[in-house]
Amino acid sequence: MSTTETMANLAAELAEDTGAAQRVHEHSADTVLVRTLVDWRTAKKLSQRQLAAKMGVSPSKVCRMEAARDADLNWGDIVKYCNAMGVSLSMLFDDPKLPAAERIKHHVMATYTLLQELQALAQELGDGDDITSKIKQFYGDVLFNFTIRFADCYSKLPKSGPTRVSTGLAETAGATDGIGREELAAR
Amino acid sequence: MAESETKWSVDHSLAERGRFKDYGKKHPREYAACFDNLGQVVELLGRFGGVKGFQIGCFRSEGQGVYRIGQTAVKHAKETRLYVFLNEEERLIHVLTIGGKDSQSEDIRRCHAVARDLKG
Repeated sequence: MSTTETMANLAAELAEDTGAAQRVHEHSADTVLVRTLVDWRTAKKLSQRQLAAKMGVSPSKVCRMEAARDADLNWGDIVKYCNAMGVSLSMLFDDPKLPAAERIKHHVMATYTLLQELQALAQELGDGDDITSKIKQFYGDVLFNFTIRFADCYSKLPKSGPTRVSTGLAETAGATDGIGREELAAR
Repeated sequence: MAESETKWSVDHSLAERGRFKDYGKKHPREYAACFDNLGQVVELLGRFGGVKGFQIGCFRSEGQGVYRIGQTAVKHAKETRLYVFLNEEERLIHVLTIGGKDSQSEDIRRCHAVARDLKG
C-alpha cells in the first residue's frame, strides 16, 4: 500500500468519513510536481533559504512555491528552482488515449536514447575509468530489472497461440504473438 | 535521490478522535491536506532516518518531540495544524490532535502533556 493510500485511510477513519480519503488523493494529485521539487531539494540537502539564495529570490518565495498546487506554479519559477539545484528539466508528453503499445514504444525509444548518452559518456572516459565501470554495472541492473518485470507481465498474459520473438528494437512493439504492429497499436 | 530508506510507522491510538471528526467535517480540504503532508513527512523521515536531514515549510517543531504539520495547496485556507509526537528511537509517529490557530496554545499544551507521558 502506498503512503498516500495509508494516509487517506487514516484520515477517513479518524474523520469517520470515507470522503476524506478521496480528498487526500485529490490533494496528492494536485501536488505531484511540487512534491518532486521538494524531494529533489531535500535530496540535495538544501534548505529553503539556501535554495532561495541560489535562485536569487526571498526564502518566502520558495516557501510559497512549495505550499502551492502544481497548477499555480509559474513555469519560469520551476526552471529557476531546477537550475538552482543543478537539476535539468525535461518534459514528457504522454497521451493516455494512445494505445498502450504506442506509448510503450515511445518510452522504449526514450530509454534507448538515454542509454546511448551513457554509452557516449563511457566511450569518452575510456575503459579504465570508475564511472565507465559503474555505467557497465548500471546496464546490467537495467537489463535485470527490465527482464524480471517483463517476465512478470508476460507470465500473466492469456496462454494461447504461439510466441514469435523478433530481434531489433524497431520490431519490438509489434512482435507479440504474431500480431501485426498496426493491429496491436490499434488495440 | 538515492538515500537508504528506513520504515516509520504511524500510530493513532492516542488521537483525539472527536477533534478529528469535527475538524474533518468543518474544514475538509485543510484536513485532507494535512494528512497528505503527513505522508510526505513519513517518507522524508524514512529517507533521512530522522528529522535532522531535511527541512520543509509545513513541518515545524513545537518542542518536546511534538511537531506540527500544516496544510498546503488549499486556496483561502484556514490555518490548520496536525500535531504529532515523534519517537525517533522506535521510528514511530503518534498522531495526537488537529486544530487551528485559535486553539494553538491549548493544543500544544495537551500535546506536550502526552509527550511527557510517552517519554515516561
